[in-house]
Amino acid sequence: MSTAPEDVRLQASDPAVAKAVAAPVLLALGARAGFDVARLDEFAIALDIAIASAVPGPVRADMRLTGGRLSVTVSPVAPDRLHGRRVLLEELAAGVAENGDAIALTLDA
Amino acid sequence: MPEGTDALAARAADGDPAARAELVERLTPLVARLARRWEGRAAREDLQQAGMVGVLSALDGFDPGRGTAFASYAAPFAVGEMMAVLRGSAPVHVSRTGRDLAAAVETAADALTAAHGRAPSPAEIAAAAGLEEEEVVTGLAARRALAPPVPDTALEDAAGTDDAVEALEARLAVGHLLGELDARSQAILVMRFGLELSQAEIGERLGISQMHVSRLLRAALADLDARLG
Repeated sequence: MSTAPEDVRLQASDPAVAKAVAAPVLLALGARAGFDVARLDEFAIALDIAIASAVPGPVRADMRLTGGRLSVTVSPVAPDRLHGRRVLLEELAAGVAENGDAIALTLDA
Repeated sequence: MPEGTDALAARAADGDPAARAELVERLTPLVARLARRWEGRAAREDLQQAGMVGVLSALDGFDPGRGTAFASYAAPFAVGEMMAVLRGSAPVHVSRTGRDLAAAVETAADALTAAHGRAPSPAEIAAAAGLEEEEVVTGLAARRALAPPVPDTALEDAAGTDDAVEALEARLAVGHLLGELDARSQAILVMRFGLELSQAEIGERLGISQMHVSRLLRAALADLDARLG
């Protein structure tokens, strides 16, 4: 299992591009942490849903792997879009936290 | 006084081209409003065009005698066509190598899940399949871009009860959207989030693989997410 923090910062021109690019990176980081494929798959779906909450236009996804914790922060998200998805995200990710116009998802080993 | 939309729809359904054109013009604002739900996820023109195809396809089954306004009756048809556009707008092309890796990953993951009763890690799949871990990740990513699975009769037979669906709707705070999903999607979501079964447990219960459950779950959540707007 990796112990040194690994960071990936991704800026995409719109949510559709972010969705296509971010998930494979997330899967790669999650594989390094040793998560099983079912949890990884559901976490990647959570990322898709978080990106679907993003404001149309440029989207940023910051991913970090620290020890056994994988996290991703998506911004900017639209509060009204996020509202209906919040509980669903909590089912798919171990942690969900809103901070201003960003939503952070975490998955712990 | 302008002719009512329902009467217009009835004439359009009978093949009146003028009524059809008038109906398209009259329902364009409705379709545009629905398309705005998915702004940024597909070209607006594509969504509106698909939505209007849905509206026109609703003409065939519309019965004014049932008391439902045509606009209300046609809206789900429009949404369905728009979601087909969303599903088909994935910008990722899956190469032959990606498809082969996806198949190899699925085969190995299914064997490992059957042997150990839990989903394996990518490293375990790599060891079992004789692949590099990066290749396993490529295969997992490719799976996400492949077409959704064909209808699964076994799963439709296991569809949740109305009570279970309503309870999950309340828990997920998604209004009545689960009720709009197909029986297969309802069943997979009730088992995963209502009964809180793992993907491997669902697979065991239904006699299908964990990776198949994964695909079904992803398709069901994508459908639900699209309806959240």
